[in-house]
Amino acid sequence: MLLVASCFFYMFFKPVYILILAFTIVIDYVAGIMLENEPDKKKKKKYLVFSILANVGVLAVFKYYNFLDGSFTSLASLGGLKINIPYLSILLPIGLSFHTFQAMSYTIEVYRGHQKAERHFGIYALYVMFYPQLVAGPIERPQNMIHQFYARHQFNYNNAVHGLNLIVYGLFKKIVVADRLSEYVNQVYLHPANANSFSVLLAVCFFSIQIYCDFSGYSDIARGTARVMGFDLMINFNRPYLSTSISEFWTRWHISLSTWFRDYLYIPLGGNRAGKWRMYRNLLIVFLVSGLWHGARWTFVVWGALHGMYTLFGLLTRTSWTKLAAATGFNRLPALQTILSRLVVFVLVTFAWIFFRAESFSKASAMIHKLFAGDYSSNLVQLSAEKGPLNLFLSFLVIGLLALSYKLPYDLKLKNSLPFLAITTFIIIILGKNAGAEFIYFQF
Amino acid sequence: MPEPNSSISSFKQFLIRILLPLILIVSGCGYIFNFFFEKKIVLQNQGCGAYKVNRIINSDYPDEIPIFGSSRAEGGFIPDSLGKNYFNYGLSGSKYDVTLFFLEQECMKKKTTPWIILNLDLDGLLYGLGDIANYIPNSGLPQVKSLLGEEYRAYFRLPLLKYYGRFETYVRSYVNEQVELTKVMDKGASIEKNELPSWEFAELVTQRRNSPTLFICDTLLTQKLFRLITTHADRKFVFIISPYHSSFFDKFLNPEMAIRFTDTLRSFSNVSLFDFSKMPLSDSMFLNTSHLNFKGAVVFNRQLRDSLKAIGVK
Repeated sequence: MLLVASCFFYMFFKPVYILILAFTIVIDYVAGIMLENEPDKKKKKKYLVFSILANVGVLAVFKYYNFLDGSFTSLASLGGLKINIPYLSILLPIGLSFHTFQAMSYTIEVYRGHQKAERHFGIYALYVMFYPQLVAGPIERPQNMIHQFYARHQFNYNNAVHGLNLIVYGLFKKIVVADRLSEYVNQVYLHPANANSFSVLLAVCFFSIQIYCDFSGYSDIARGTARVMGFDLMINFNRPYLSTSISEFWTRWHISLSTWFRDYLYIPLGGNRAGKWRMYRNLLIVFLVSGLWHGARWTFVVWGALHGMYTLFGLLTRTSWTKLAAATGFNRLPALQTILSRLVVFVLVTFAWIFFRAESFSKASAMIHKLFAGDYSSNLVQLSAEKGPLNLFLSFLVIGLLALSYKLPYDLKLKNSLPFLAITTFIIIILGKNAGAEFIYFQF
Repeated sequence: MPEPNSSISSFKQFLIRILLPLILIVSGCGYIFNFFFEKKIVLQNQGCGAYKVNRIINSDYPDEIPIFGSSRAEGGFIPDSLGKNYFNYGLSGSKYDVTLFFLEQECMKKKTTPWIILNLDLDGLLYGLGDIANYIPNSGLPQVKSLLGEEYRAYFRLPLLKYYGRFETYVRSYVNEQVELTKVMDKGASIEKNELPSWEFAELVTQRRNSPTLFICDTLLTQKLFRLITTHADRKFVFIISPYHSSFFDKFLNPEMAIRFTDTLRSFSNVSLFDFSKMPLSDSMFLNTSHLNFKGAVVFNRQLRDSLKAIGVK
């Protein structure tokens, strides 16, 4: 039933793309069994490489072909060569990066011997296709999911209430906060020339909150939907803007992806076991790949590189900061230290988001130029980004409500859920945007 | 081993302790909220489109001279500048099917004044409802339901939920009416105060010069308009073509069609038509190339008042 529902869910977007999913499922299912049956380590490695290549190949064709084509053509034209490689006019299958990574984690875990190969084709297909997390994660591990598909699930009151809490809170984040802020953000990014420095500053800060609410909202809905059915999905976001360092930020933001990169890229590259400089190199590689994972655009690579540099800078200067704090007596004010650190992290992350959100370098540079142009005129039309003062007021109001929601118990495990559900539902109906906007991460 | 009935009893518990109370609380509070919201915000605010739809259907003001049309009517005609009995029913984003809906409702009323003012846009007689929020409070009425056509949704009958995603529209209109921060509000008129910087206006002019305009008259709408004019010979219809920026005419592809149409209108004995489309106004008097701002509207309404007086509209 769940598999049928998952197929239906996926086919709802573009039916024919289920064939791509079926292709990788069959390859990885067979690869898993062959990996387990094969005693020869060299052959085992070959199977793994084949399976990974098949998955990465699908990604390369559908997600990166045109990007590589464009980059290669531009590079050739710089060298005076005229190359004409045809563009592929294909739509990116929804959630491709997510289910491909989830499928790869299965074969890698089987190869490492941490997971038994799944013999039941339906169960394996469900592992890749489980609809709550199929299109935008969390990117699960086989150890956490497969055994859950064998368990008998009965309707459970506590699960249902907790799941409903998560779903309603996820909807609040998406419909009330993210979609509201997107009005302002989209307008400023569309016409940065019409904005002043203050409206650009607001737009970039709003985008930080928008993308957090958009993506973590989806994760909450996915976890909630699974929870109602009795399944446990991993926590994907843990209040990331409360981080006091960039390294900590990445333990709180898109946790399922950062742990994926840690386990399947950073550690295999040598992690921090092969000396400082190798560790720095590995970190940079991980962040660059992470940038590219998000989208086939150089702006995403710059976004990843910025995070890589932030992290390296943090690691390199950690001791100096500690010494400076001790010398100035700043370490005796831990609360202030925390607030300042959080602010610095927010500023750095927000700056990097400019490259993530901008469709091109010229757009990103226009935004940055405006940001530092020092144009703080009090033009109401510019301040409200042509969307009216009410929209600006509501944007601040919903941010206030989001901040207030941080007072709720961790992971919304409430003693009495009814007041929370009633108030949040009411807020969603009254303040929700009926924009029909897609989740940002669906495109990845 | 879980008990065989634990799933059902758990679901019952969920239903009784969470789902039903949640539905009851949200519906109860929603109903009360809906009542006050509709009464105090939606239907009490003259600048709101929903108020205008409600007013034309449900209220009678025998000596009222209505002004019908699109956003060019809403943002271009200042009732108090024209006289004490005018009311601006212009609906932003709407086209002539909506204007004719208003006209139809108006023609059914018994009035002490025969005059009806209609703004005529130079894109012709086309279909376009504009913001659906304007119709929701009255969507249960057959004439509104029929106007909405495929846009009608069953949830428009549900208190609170019917306004989902649209509360802001009404509140914005209400705040505009109360505060008049960016707009001047006057008996249904909602006129932008904003004067664009010259470089921004120049961009709009360039855009306009690159986008051709055609005068198109839908046959059914034209027939309906002519039928209303002929069957209500006791009413006097005054068509006004309010001012456009000169750049509008650079790519106006079929002015001869517009002239032919206006000539046909003029041939009716109970129709008058004033063409202000090429009224000389400076750039600072326009919000964009097809809409006036308050500064422009004041100048336009002064001339319009004189023209209306000349034909005896009081």
